[in-house]
Amino acid sequence: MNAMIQTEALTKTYGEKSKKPFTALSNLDLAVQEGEIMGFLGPNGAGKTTTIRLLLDFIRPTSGRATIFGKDVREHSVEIHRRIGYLPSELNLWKNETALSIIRYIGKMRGGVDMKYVHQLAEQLEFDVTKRIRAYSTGNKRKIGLILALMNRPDVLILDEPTSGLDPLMQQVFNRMMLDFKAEGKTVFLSSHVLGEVQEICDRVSILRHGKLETVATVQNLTHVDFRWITLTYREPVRIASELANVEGVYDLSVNGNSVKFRMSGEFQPLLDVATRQYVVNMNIKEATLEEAFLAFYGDNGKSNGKATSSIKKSERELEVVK
Amino acid sequence: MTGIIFIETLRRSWKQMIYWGIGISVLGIYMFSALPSSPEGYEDFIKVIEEMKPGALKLVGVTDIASIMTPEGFIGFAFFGYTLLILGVFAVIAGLNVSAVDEDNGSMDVVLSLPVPRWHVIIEKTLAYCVLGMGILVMAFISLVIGAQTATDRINLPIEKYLFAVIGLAPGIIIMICATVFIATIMRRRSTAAVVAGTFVVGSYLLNILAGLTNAEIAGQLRYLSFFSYMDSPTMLTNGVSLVSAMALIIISVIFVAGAIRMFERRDIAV
Repeated sequence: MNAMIQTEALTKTYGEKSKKPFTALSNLDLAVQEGEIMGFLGPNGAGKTTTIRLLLDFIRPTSGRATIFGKDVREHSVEIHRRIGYLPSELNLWKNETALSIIRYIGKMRGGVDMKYVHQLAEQLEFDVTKRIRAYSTGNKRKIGLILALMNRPDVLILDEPTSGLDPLMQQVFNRMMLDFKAEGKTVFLSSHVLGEVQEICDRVSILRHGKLETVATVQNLTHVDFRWITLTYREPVRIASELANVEGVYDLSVNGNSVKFRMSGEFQPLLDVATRQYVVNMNIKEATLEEAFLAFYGDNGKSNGKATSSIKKSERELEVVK
Repeated sequence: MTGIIFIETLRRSWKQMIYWGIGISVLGIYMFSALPSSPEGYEDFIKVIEEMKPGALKLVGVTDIASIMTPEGFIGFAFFGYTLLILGVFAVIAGLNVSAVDEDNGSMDVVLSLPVPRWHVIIEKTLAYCVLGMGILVMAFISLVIGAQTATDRINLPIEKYLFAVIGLAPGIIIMICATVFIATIMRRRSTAAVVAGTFVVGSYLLNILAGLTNAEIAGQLRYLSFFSYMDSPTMLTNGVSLVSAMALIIISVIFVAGAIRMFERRDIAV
């Protein structure tokens, strides 16, 4: 397989000449293969958007280089942009224009657009193209961004936080669109700070933290370290807290009247066996954010956490640690 | 692909041009209606002028009292003397729209993710706003012709005089747009660029006026740093346009745009 996107020691430091230079990205070595969907994960401020802006030649690297289709992103930006679709993390379009007029404008800039395909995409996303941009909600703005990114049938998609603002149903539609796109042998590079949002579609994920690439792993490996926050609400005050705390995979348990909240990884059945010894009124499961999973995985200093759970430790061994 | 940004900019901004054109046209027609109807009618006007100190006259842009005592001198002073300064506001807004506004609100990312080189964005948008500026001047010219028709008993100049005088304003608008484009590519942020470009326009105007107040040679020479000194717009209707000055301003405008392209090509796009 060919690397469609490749970075070599890519580094970006802001304010180099100032007293407090800030390195947003440090020596990033990354390769996204043809036909794969790679998730680019990291907490806010990790350097994901900086990387994407470097790939698109919006900002220039302090050192290192990046290539797309084997071509340098600085020297061949126009040629590269002809074959890629891009969705920024915050899509700001001209508020007084209608979505349709923007689609036509962008389409002309790309040398023409297949309006049938545009309407097909709009239908898939349940998006009305006739309104002015200022009338759209955040979710709808993501939808027009997706249409703009996909409408020229690019070979590579670069999407910055594509699912933020999309409702769960639309996330499913988005996932299907990405899998269809991949089925055509095309490549997707998408960033997110929520692992759960991208784990369904990504072949591999790379994790960035404090501007450094920590890990590149398959989703199967990474989901082992994933955990959830569970809140159980009982009809009566909690009497089985100690039994719950002893269930394998349960951590950080706290009781508040009729409710008990804890972190959990691993399988559910042992938990359910214990949890249902009292009458359960409600059960709320919240996906851990990437940051939470990451902190559990590496600890706050970015090194492997000595207090990490056995399942997390097991997963850590399975991960392909790049550095 | 060539020309798409240019056409799109015209499509989105032609209404701005119309509004500005209407404003300037109303001013032009009003000035003709304010023209004194007889030589005696100038008496009140002359009295006001004579009561003013020479320094104060220079402050409002009058260097030669006799020059404004004629109908064409009056129109030149009252319309052409201030139109360029008023159009400076349009020029600054237009110049900011070339890069700073899109960069500030994030839509520049969308444009630059397309197969379009950065210099295209600067060139095509700058050209489009210069064309819109010329559109305002066309409307101003039409208003002057209409105004002159309503005052044929007081002023009777050939139409070419108005035409050349209006054309003479063009380099002034162009240099203000191009200077703002250059400033915006350095400053990046719309608000900062607006302040600096506004200071450039108003500062140039004041430098031209204030330097004219002094007899000191060095201070007098300083006025040549102001592009207004190459325009002498109040006398354009009577004295015509200096082609050399107009060419000089156009060349400086081109240098500004070249500088803007160089800056924009080399630097990071603001987030």
